[in-house]
Amino acid sequence: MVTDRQIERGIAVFSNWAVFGAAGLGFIMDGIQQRMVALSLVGIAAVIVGFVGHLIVNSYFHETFSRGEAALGLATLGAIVAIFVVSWLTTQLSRETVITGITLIGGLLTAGGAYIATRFGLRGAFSRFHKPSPRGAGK
Amino acid sequence: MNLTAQQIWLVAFGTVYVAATSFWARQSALRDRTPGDFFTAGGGLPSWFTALALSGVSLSAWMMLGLPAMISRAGFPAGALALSTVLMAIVGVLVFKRQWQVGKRFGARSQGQLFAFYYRSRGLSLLSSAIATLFAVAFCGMQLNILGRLMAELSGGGIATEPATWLLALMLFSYVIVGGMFAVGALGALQTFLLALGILGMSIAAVFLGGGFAAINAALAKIAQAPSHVALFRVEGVVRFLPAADAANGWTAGLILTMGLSFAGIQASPLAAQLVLSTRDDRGFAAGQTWVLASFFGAVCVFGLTLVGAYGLILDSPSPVATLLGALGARSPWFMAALYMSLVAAYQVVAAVSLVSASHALVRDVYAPFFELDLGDVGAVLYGRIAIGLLLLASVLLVTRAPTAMVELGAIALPASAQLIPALIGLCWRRGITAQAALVGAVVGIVSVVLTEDLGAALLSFLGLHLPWGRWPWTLASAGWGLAANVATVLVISAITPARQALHRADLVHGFLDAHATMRPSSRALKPTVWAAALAWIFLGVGPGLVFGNFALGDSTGGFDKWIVGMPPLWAWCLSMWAPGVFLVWLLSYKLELASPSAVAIRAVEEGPKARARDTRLRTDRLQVLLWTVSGVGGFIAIFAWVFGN
Repeated sequence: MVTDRQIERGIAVFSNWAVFGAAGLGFIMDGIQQRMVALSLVGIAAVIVGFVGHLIVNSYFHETFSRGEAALGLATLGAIVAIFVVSWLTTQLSRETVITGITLIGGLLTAGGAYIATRFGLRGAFSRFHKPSPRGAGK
Repeated sequence: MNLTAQQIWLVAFGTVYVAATSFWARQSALRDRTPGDFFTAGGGLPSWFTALALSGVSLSAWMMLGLPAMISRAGFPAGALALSTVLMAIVGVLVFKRQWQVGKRFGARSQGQLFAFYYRSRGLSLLSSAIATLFAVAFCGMQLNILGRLMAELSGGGIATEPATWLLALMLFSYVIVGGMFAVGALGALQTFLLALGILGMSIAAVFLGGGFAAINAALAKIAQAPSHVALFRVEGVVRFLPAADAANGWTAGLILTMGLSFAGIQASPLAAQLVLSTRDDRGFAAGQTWVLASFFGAVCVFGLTLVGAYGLILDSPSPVATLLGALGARSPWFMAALYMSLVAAYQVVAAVSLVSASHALVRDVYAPFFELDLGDVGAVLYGRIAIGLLLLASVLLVTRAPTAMVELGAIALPASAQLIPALIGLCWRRGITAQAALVGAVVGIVSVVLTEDLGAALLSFLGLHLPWGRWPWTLASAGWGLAANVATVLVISAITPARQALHRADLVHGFLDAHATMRPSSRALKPTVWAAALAWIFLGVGPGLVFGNFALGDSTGGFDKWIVGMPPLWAWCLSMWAPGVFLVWLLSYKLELASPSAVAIRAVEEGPKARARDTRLRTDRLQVLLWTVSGVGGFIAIFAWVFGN
């Protein structure tokens, strides 16, 4: 049985990423394709606004990221880093692409780090990684 | 097979979209507690879903595609229709909260049930069901038609128009039939976000492709100086006594006002009522109408969609959105595909609500009371799902096999729906309106609408008769003619028919509404001022005062240097009218508390619009009578047309 509240939150999160995520991805791709850093920066800003929007939704529903959301987010970040590093090492990336990639990864890491630090405190943020969370926490 | 970038992105976005709608439909189906939740979400739709979905339904792809096209053809007078978002919000503020309160108190779950309970009139309930069906089949069919053609065009012929139409219908069918009303409301909220993104995206694309805002206005100024284009930049008086609006060579203020009333008809429709009556609480109505519809969508329509229309005007394109998407597809295929999917979302938000409303009305308000009184929830949902399939099938068949008939039928959906406004005013505000007056007024109004549209001329021509006027005589749209006839009929019949039978219900409902409509003393003092301001805004924003827009902010045809704010004066006038419009809706919603949440919780009572069961068997005798009546009437029309028709 799915509760109304779960659907409400899910729709809010999905709407947020459908708008900002899609726009961000598109602008980043167009920026890289047309070698326009400004366009890429708009896309990166949209992705970060999407992340902030997700935090606002979480706050409204008094919840934190679900395990699935955290896993998807970390997997996406890992994929972006891996693709960028491999591409940089194996091909001749343009200056604009390098700037876009570094800004995107830096922006996401900064936003994620800032969230964890403000949510759990600096010491607590570190503990999130080296201590197993209590059963059921983070759901 | 080599796919183009446009095709790849259309397929990619389409796949993600279908996956999302299917997922949320499944989630919604899992939360349904009883089978009856399918039609009404058990009255548990979160208020913010409703607030967003109502705005999405009000605009839909109809506004996204239609407004720029009208501006491209008729110029900036048509742009004033963007302000009908404020007019829609005013109507919504007037009727939504009270419909919800009455529905909650007396257990009504559809507009037809509200009418049947309050007026004790099955006629109004049937009329409401017919209008819901008209929306589901023809009004949404018009949008489906355009989107099918657009998909074929944007995919470079990769997908033909007819398969594209079927595909779009299937996408809609798959989630409506699984998730029911809760999925429709939840996805309606998501689709409204996409609709907003689409309008913003199209506006940015129009600026980008048009060479910048200043360049667009400079190009418009050049067009305005040609004597043959004067009518594109100014309102041609208040009204012109011509047999048809097409003969006027320009739009009048009367035409804009009556078309605005037609647009506002969606707020009085069974679709809006279905969303309202499925809502958990009344917290979203004020915010939805004030901040989402009048404020946000008002702004993006008055500025953004008008900009897209201006882009089309410069290129002399009859369908600016298609032109814009086509141009965008060559430069940025992902952006084009995203905008196309936002159009699909905008179509689906209204189509899904229409399908659920119409199937609910057909099963619960038409079939059950007349033919099978003890129809249970499980049976009703089964019949409802079948009805959704049949309605969508009828819509697609009309689109693909009889597009002219579909356009003629679809064109009367909004003005016909506007004819329910007097009946709703009776239900929500004026106890003096009797059942006979409301029903006869609505019927007379709808007949007047039909006779002042192409449909009336086509029907009468089929029967060998000819009207002495064309479409929209005296440059007044059909909604205006219908409402004039409707209101006159309601006033006369209400005056001569004392309400005896329905008096108890009227007292009951209005006593309850009055008890819950406690207004602060400071707000009470504001009442005359706010209503005077409302009339003034309607006069200046969408009424005869629009003629001031021809010269108040510059000389329309004097060139760029004579435009005080660097844009066509009429457009600038509409922009300047938007902010007071939002302020007015805020005053009505919050200060006069017409849509703000009730301070008192509402408890449901026993006496509701449930039918009293006398004979609960399946009434095959009535089905036979219906069959013979339909056959007889059909045969009579065929013979009449054969003898006298063309």
